[in-house]
Amino acid sequence: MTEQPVPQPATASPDLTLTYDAGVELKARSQWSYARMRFMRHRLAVASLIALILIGLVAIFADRLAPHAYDALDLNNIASPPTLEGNHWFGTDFLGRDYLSRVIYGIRTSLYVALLVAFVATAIGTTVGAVSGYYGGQVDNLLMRFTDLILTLPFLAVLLVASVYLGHGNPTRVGFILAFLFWTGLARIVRGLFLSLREKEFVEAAKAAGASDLRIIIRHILPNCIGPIVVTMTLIVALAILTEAALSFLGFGIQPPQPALGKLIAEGQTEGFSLWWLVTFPGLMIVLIALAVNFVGDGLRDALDPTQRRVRA
Amino acid sequence: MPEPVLSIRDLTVEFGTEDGVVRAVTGVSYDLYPGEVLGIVGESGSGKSVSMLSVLGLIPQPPGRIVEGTANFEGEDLLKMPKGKLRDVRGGKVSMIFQDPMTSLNPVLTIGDQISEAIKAHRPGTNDNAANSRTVELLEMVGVPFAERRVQQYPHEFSGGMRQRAMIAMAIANDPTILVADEPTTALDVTIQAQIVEVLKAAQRETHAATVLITHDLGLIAELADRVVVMYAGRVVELADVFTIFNAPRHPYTVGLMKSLARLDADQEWLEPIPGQPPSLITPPPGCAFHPRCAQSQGREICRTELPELRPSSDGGDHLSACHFADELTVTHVRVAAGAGG
Repeated sequence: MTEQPVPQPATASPDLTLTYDAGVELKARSQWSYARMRFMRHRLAVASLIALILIGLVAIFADRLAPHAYDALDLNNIASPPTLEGNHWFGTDFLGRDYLSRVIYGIRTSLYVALLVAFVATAIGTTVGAVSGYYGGQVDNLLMRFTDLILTLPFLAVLLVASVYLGHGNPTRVGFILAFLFWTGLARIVRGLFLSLREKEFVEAAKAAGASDLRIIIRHILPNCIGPIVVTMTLIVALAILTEAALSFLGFGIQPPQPALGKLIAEGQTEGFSLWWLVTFPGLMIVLIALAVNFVGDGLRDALDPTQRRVRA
Repeated sequence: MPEPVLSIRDLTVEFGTEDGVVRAVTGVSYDLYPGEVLGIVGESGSGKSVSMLSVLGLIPQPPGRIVEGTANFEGEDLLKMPKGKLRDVRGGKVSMIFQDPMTSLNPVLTIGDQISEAIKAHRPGTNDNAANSRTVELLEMVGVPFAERRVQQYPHEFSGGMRQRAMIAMAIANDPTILVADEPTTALDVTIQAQIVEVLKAAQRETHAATVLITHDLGLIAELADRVVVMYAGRVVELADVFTIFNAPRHPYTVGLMKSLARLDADQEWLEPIPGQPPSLITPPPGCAFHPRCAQSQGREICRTELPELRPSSDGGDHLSACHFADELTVTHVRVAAGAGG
């Protein structure tokens, strides 16, 4: 047997004593600073958030940023390819409209619809899920069968018919139509969370402390569901962008001349690959927004769980 | 004796399960007097928690069902009280301390939020500052150090003992008339248990609340309780003051419990367990529910056929026992039995 090295008595390092002498102040971190810290460690999410903020700003300030009006014709430059020299960076379409301006306005329309869908669908889904999961029994049965009914609707057919008769190419109307079809997944998730959370001791403790049902739902259970709700909401944003694009692509969503990202692709694809920029730029924007929203959702999920200190890689 | 603050009569509670109807509590009656600590002991499933939870409307209905009974509190029957009014009673005049402080606090709300919410729920219009300073005061009272800073922390930043202190602070926030402690020390380790016992004593001194202590820890009963209710298979089998319960129990089940305790004052080689299992509450044994495990019955007919009533025992006073042969259990009998292992 080899002799074990005798552990040396630790000599007090001068640095250590110095820090103690200097009086280290232990500062309590708030929950939000923890969440911020965890989110900040998620590099991809931070980058995506910055990208989204930029895209959002572009959408908000579309009228100032766009070099041209989205329907202004430049008859000298019809279907000209992207160029950094002229004033059409993204080129022009077959009517000579500046494509950069059209994409910028397209982002505005698509983001508006997506956010509208996300908020309305989240509101409906959370309410239905919460009531269903908390009360259970007949209420649950009724609401969940209604949810199933919505889920079993032939999605695209209903969407197309509704867009024609109710949508009228108006972004707000299209947003509401999408929202009424998108809340079901969230409702099921929230219901599941409520079913398990309502059995928790802290809910019983809140009841024993005299809290009303509404108070328990909103103040005690809902904050415990914020993580999954936010994540689902980001998924809805991404899905709404894609669906609105598909809808516009099929010609049932936003009506011309107002540009939307899907609409732009639809118009561009008739020209095939000869005018490649017409499909590529709005396509890239859709992919970029959908990806960024998903990454941010990922980062938020990790950041918002107060019991979790470590960051999932 | 003064008027009881809470008087439960003939409480029967059932739970519908897939295997049949479980009678968790059958014909339970007891009184709670102002300022006293009433211990309720019994093994798991004896109905000790259910009797209290159902009075406060905290059992899920269905599957739970209160078959009959009354629970008189300040001239009103809690069991017939409308939901909203009962909610005001809960956490206000009657508050609870739960078993597991790890799960009884909401993980996403700060300790301060949770305590001040309990205050605000029962005193609408309390402003945030007042609620907050009361919260700090409460936490200091139950011995949470740096209370001012710790109100902003979340439950996961508290240790088990500190969480239970916070639970106690929440329970006494509204100066309750009745404090129900449901196994308050079971989830804690032994050194912390001793501290929490002190905190409970202090909380009781402070609020003068009549306390119901539900536990299976006889040590805790000896430490805190004034009177003791012993429950078995959903029924009260013995009721007496704490000295009588420990020194002269008049029910074979209580005797069995005492014999199964490890004692420091006797030289025991083995502990004497009560043989057998607690009965199924779906099909309880006929007669006295304890007869299959009873050392006293010795197979006598009456134990199998007739349900013993809870009646005053021969040593008089307020000592009640539900055993046909309560008088056979004498003081010497118990003493000898307790020392028999040694």
